[in-house]
Amino acid sequence: MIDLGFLDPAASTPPPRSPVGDVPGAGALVDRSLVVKTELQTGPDDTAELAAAVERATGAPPRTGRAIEADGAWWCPLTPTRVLVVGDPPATPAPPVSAVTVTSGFAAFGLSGPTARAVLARVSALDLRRADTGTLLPGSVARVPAIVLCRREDELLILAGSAHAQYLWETLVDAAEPSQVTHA
Amino acid sequence: MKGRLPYNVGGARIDRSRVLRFTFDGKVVEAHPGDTVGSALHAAGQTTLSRSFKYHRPRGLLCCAGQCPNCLVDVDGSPGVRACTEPVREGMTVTPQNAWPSLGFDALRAVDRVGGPFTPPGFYYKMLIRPRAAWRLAEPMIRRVAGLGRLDPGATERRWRTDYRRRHCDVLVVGGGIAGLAAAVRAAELGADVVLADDGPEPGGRCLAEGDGARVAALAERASAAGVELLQGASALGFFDGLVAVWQGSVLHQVRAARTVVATGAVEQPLLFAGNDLPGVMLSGAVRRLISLYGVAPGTRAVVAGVGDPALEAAVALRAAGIHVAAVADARPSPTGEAADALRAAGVPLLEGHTVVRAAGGSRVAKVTLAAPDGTRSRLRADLLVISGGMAPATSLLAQAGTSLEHDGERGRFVPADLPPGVFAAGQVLGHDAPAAAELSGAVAGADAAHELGLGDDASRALLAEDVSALRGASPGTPSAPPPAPPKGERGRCVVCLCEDVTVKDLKTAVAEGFDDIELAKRYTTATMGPCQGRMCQRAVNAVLAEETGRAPAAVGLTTARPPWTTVPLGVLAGRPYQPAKRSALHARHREAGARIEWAGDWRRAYDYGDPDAEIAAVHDGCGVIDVSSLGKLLVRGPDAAAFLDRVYPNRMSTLAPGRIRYGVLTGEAGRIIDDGTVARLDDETFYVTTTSSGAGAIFEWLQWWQADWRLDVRITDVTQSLSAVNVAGPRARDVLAVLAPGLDCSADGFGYLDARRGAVAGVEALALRIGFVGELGYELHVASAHALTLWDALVAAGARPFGLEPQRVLRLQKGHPIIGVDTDAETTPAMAGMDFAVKLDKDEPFVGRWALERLASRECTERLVGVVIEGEHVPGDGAVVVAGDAPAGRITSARRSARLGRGIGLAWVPNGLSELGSRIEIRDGGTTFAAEVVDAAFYDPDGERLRT
Ligand code: FES
Repeated sequence: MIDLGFLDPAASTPPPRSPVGDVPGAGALVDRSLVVKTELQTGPDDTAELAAAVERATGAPPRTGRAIEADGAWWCPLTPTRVLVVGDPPATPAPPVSAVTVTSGFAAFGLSGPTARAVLARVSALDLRRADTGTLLPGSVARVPAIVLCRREDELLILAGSAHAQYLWETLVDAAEPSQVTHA
Repeated sequence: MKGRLPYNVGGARIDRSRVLRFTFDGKVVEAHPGDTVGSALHAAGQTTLSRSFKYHRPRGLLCCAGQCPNCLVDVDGSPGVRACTEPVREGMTVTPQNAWPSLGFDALRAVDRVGGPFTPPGFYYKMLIRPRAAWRLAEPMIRRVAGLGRLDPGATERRWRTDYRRRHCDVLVVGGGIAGLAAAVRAAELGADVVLADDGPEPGGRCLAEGDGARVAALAERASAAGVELLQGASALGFFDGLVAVWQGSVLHQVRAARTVVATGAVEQPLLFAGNDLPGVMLSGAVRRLISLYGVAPGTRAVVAGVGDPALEAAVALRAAGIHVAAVADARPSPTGEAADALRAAGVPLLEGHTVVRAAGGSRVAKVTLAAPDGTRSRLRADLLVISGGMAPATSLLAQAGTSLEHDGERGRFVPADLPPGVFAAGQVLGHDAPAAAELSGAVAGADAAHELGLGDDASRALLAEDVSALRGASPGTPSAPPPAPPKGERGRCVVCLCEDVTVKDLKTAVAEGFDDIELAKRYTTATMGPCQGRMCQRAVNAVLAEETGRAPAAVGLTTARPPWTTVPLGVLAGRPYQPAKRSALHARHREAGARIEWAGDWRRAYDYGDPDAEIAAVHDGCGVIDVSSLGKLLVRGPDAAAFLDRVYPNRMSTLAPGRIRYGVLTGEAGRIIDDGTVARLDDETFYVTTTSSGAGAIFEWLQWWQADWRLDVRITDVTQSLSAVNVAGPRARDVLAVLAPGLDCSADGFGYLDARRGAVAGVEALALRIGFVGELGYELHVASAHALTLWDALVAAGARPFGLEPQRVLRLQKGHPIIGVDTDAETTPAMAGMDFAVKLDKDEPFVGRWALERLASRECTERLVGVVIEGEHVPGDGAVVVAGDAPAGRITSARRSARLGRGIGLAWVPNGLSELGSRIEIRDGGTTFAAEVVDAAFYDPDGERLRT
């Protein structure tokens, strides 16, 4: 029996460096890639159990296109059988819900400030006009698959495959330049 | 500034109290803030602004609205800028383009004088075909003589930044004239989020110069108050399935609107007569703009010729500006209306039924010939010929959106027939020429768009009903005459397409040579293909073809409307210079180590580290390490995981013991290979599946697609990017691993071939797979990407030498391992590729492709993938042709020289008759022929002893 500890960066030594904090200024682009990410999944006939697990943790049932914040973690329903939790890992779920650490699988870039949406509009066609706190938009950012989570009115978290991290970071830094958004 | 009108005449846009200076062709020109380059130059007496594309004929302001090709200049190094719309800036450098040695004396004008016989329509299909060398000699000359400006070939980067901006809105209005403004105001006041894109510097369109400035200013104010986002200097380039690209200086807006209102107006058309492209020939709208916006006198003595009221109104405006009007030729038999009355009252000769047949002069109009209805000619002296051939609705965007057009025979124009869902039109583009009717139609379109979005109430619907009925009763304006046919027998070129210098004669020749369809004539003569995008010539081309072929204009039709509707620098479309690329977590290390980085699918990978042969030797004799993070990696878990894999793989995965690995090939329903990789069983319900690098995303989706149908109790997670992977290979690999992973039993018995183990390597938790693609003892280590660098550095420090993709390809070729997608194609079956060992037709369970594979098993393959040894020192390139009896019979998919084996080796597709071991084949690559022999593809260590050791 081989366990899945090799997927979890926290299981190795030395532990990965901690996430960078906020950058002061009118707007900021921050690399938050090391925030813990966990994928919860069930089989197709057990979606009610997954929904119940989400509701237990967050106090609300999962809804498509909405992420729910609970205890500092964002619960992001992707499909009826799949939920991505961004933030501190949930307690090990009970079967039939299973969890896999996907921290390293996603780059996560925080984009904040009054111009955050304008910066994103330079690289993405996602419609953020009606996006409020908790809006979850899967789509394309800078021509790569991504998920945009609206953490606050003026704070977006952009999740994309970690193999695209360097490309996406460079593209976002470039897009942020005319808006004087600082980055770190 | 000698061409300026007195202070109290016109000039609404300029500040006469201040003076700016710029240079044109090296000479200093004075201008006022608010001027355009074109208005300032005309005021300064510079009436020739450019030279035409092919014949280098002098060209001056024609439309003064950014619609034609006549005023293209280079501004501060940017070619193709329209002088008539480009605002002046202090110190700017404006250079004429397409003239040599100077704009005033252009030696290349010789092409106009002698070039006719040498530049026939269909030039590229007729001339310089034989001898073949002729084209090579002529090409540089042609490029020099013909052109629309030059880019600096030394510039490595764009000098300006262009950003994309995606904008979603409820209603997009294209066109900021009176109709567009009214549409935007109405929609916004009903609560819609509205964007208005207008190509002018300020909203208002033609009304600004034609007496309705206050009305449009009030509408613009209401639009701003209602929250309309007004984009000025913003040209709509095209309609792409609901997305409208709008270019505004350094920004390319991609506007996605729920509803679109097209209020693009109409384009005033020139007339066809000899010498119709001389400087001094101007459209009526241009004359009115010069006077009213810039206070510029278009000329001193004018003749006016037209088919409707715009010409007469221009004549009135000229007189009001103090410019002598020698005569007005109106194609209508008895023009009536306010302007006609005013001219008659002022004693201006209003020549009924007269047309213009010729303009003559050197670098500017000097004489104008008019024809009376009975054909008699009269010649008049004039330095300005004002023309107006009627209005052509600017339907390009509507047509791109799917609107069909019909010909309005009475007014001689094509108008929208029916609009596609979600698209509305307003104003002149719909035929509402009078400003009041245009405004009303805009309000109707804006209200319709908003109502469709669920906005508005009973009151707004009642108002709409009133507007609709008022619009029905609105005056369509005084009728105009159809544009006269080009005159016969007049000396001088009668230009149809100003951009491409295509004349009436050229079009007639094209028809005579059989190119009588408008699309064919376009391609043959290049008419309508220039920077004006057919604005100035579509209708004229239609008319000439109709006359020559005897068909009705409706039957001749227009050419397909294609984007861009406005000329646009390619750099604007290209956006920012970033290309999506996947990189492994180790990418920086590869760069530091001097790797040659190349594309491999959508990944940037290390091809080699400068010495591929030494890298290969390290794997054979010591220990090498390669980054294989791009491999697809999937977790398949759940009570039905084994059953699921048995259904997708042609071999059995359910019999795999935990901790063991099996190779698998994936076939589609047609039994063709789609991917391959390994499957490691981690526990009873968990499998770790690897795929090829290029297949990772597609196979994940493919598995999910089947799972959606089968609904097994399975969870599939793509961990491709969560995990990095390295392959440590070579006879010393075990020693290296043993040092770094003291907790792992690395002995041959403790960690055998095709075993999977968990353990910490250099402190990093890893899944270790004992497999090999390169033919030596090897371990694939899969770790969380966040720790990949730690692992890599430790391996290198322990003596593993990095090797790249190219050495890996040689090493695997020595083993005869095909790469899916390189050595196979979409038709390859496992049997053809010698991979039928991975197909178990004796399985009880159904699996994807089983039906096809069973049928294929009963048939002989017609071709096979075989190993070949190539004679000589060199090897053919990948893709070289295998020849049998001088006919192509197959191809080389991979070939390399193996230093270890001391010969050239390869994989090749050959027909069945040549696939037997020992068969001799011939390979041709370009002009070189290679002899080769078919051999067992496992060239190196055929029994796999080194791998299993
Ligand atoms: S005169 Fe400038 S585009 Fe026509």
